[in-house]
Amino acid sequence: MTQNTKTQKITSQEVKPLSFVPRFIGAFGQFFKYMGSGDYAARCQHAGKGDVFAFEAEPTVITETIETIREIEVAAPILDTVNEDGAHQLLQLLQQEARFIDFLQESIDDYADADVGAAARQIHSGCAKVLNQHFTIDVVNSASENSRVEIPAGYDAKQIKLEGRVEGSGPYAGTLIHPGWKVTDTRLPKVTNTENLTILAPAEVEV
Amino acid sequence: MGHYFIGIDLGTTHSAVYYSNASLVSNEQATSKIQQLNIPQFTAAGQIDELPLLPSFVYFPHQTEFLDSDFQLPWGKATSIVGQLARELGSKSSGRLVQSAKSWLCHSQVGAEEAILPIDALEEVEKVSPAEVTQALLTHLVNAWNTSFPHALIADQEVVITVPASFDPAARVITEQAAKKVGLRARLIEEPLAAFYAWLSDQSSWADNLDVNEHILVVDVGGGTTDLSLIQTVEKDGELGLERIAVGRHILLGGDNMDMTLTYHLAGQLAQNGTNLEPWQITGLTQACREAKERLLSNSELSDVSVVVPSRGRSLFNNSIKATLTQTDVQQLLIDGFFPESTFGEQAQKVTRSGFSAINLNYESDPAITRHISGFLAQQDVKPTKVLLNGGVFNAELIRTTLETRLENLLGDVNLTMLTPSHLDYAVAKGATYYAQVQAQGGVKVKSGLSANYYIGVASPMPAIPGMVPPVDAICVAPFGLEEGSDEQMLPNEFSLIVGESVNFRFFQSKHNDVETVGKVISSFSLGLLNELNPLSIRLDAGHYQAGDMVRVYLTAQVTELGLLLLQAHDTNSDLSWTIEFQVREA
Repeated sequence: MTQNTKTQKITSQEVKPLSFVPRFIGAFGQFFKYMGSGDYAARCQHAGKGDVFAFEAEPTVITETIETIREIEVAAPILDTVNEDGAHQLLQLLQQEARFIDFLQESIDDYADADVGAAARQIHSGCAKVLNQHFTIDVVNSASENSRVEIPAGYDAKQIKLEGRVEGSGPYAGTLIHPGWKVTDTRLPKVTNTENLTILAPAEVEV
Repeated sequence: MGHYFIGIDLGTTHSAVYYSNASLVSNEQATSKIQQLNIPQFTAAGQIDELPLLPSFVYFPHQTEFLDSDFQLPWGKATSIVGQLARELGSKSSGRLVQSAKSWLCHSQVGAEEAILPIDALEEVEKVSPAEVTQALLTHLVNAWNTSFPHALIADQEVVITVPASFDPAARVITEQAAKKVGLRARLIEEPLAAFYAWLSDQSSWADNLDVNEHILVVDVGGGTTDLSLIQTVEKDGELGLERIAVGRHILLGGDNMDMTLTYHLAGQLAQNGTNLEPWQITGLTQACREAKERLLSNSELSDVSVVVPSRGRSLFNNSIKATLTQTDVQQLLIDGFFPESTFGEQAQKVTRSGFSAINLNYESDPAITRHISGFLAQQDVKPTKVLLNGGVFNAELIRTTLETRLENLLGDVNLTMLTPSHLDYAVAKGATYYAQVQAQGGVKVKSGLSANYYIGVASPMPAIPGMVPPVDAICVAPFGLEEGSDEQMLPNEFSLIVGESVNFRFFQSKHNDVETVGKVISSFSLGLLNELNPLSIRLDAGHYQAGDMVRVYLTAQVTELGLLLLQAHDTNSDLSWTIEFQVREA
């Protein structure tokens, strides 16, 4: 809600003095008009006393205040999709190095634990290679697991998640259940063409 | 704009680049400032990643294999694929991949300028020469540098390129020429020596660890080659100095052989059970064996590791090949095969070779690295007291300790110390960078000159006898230890040189490293004592002489600042002189 000041100005007309000739000629005319009309004569008496016409008055400034309501957009949280290219690229890398998609797309129900275990080793080493090569990953909280940690009052809720009986305004003391992970550096391969990143692995044909 | 020292390890299987900023370097803490350059390369079609190593592979793709946009590198369009993707593609498609080009540079029958690679090339693939491949790899590294340091182009920096100690003069010249073509003025350094420099750069006071007249054996086992060098500490003007006194011959035997050994062992086992492997499965099996080997060697408690080669199809389990590699297998095959007990003086075993063989690299027939070492030490008649290891093979503690025990037994009552390597995988590139630094800013240097005596063949006069070519004597033109940048060596006698006509020059190299006097003649009957190098056919410009004229000349030899052997013939009657270069080979 705001206050607006609106100014209205009335344009004043000016009474300009006449030169001698129109005055001389006009004086005869005024004589007969004065004689013929009582109403006119009465008006002229007013003018003779020095009264001013309404339009000669000083322009009046009229100030009025009006109230208006305007809507301002505050950044309200809206849901958005993250960059899909990055996700596709990561899947590509995991398939390339570790045959990750092959592994997940196949049902492992029919295979013995030993077989799955042997495959898991290869997939593990491949995935670990992708992770190490393209990301630097560090813990969020470097204290050792299950140790007592103190969280200050104004902590960052993105970095630390309080669980259990959470009440009061802190600082909070608790046990570190999981140190958390964060990416400190990302080194993804550069691509020359982002159009067909949805092809995670091309079909292979031996000729 | 900065000024940098750059060391390039141009390896048989991998290349690496290290560098240090000249303005930041002070010799005391030099190593902390030697850093690695990450090299952008294709990792998949149209995908570029920066990796610390550049696999030394070049792949010539089929015209439909990639989209035009897939060839975009940070510095422009590529014409062939270099690096990781090349190796991967080559394992799936045949006839398009060039690998181990470096080993071809000192092949005894194939010239480095001869377009022969890929050796199994498809008809539509245009063959290239080993020298061109070296140039392609260097170009990639140069572009990688220039992209990272656009304000300090590599052409303006101090560059050192490493070569095997066993490279002959011609192979060195080719490497240097390839570097020159891509705009580098590079010095060359031998790889084992570079590894030793890396060790030196780590020492706060190197002399504390060494005594006078000690011998240091450097064993550098790379992916495909094994290189041996001996360094001696000498007293010079009351101070300790270092001299590289001997290098081994070119041994095509390395870490890859070990992986292959395990692969063929398992492939043999599988064949007995009725499974015959296809070539792609062998590749997969080698990869799996390498991982299994690393696990077994790092943990001796582990009795066996299963090795799985998944099918190429989408199922990881169907049709996969399973085998088991046991701890005993690894111990027997690798330790007994590559590092058997050896006595001092024992030579590498030679097998009778088949009369015909396909033209390829001359792989070593005896895989026993210990026998190669004992043969080398016996030839030099030296018992080293210090050993410096280099190469990824020695990351396995078991192999390190085995070699140490074998060497102790081999040398008898010598008190052997293993020096702590700077880094087993990267010491060579790091040492090369340090060497560039030492060259420019001073520091301890290892005196190293020619690694053998070099001889030139001279036809001796004799009356014509039907069916007999005039015998050729060898005359020493450059003695062992001739240092780079040293004064010209002049031969005492004069010779006749044919100009304006194509003539052959024969070159020889001594097998031992006793210093020969310049001008010493080895008669044609004793030529067997020498190794003959590739002859070269060359037509020397006649100048003001008639073509075919015999000109009286005197010969000089010199090792240039860049470490290349240069022979010059000077006319006794005029100012004319001819340079006989080693890179010109008979194609």
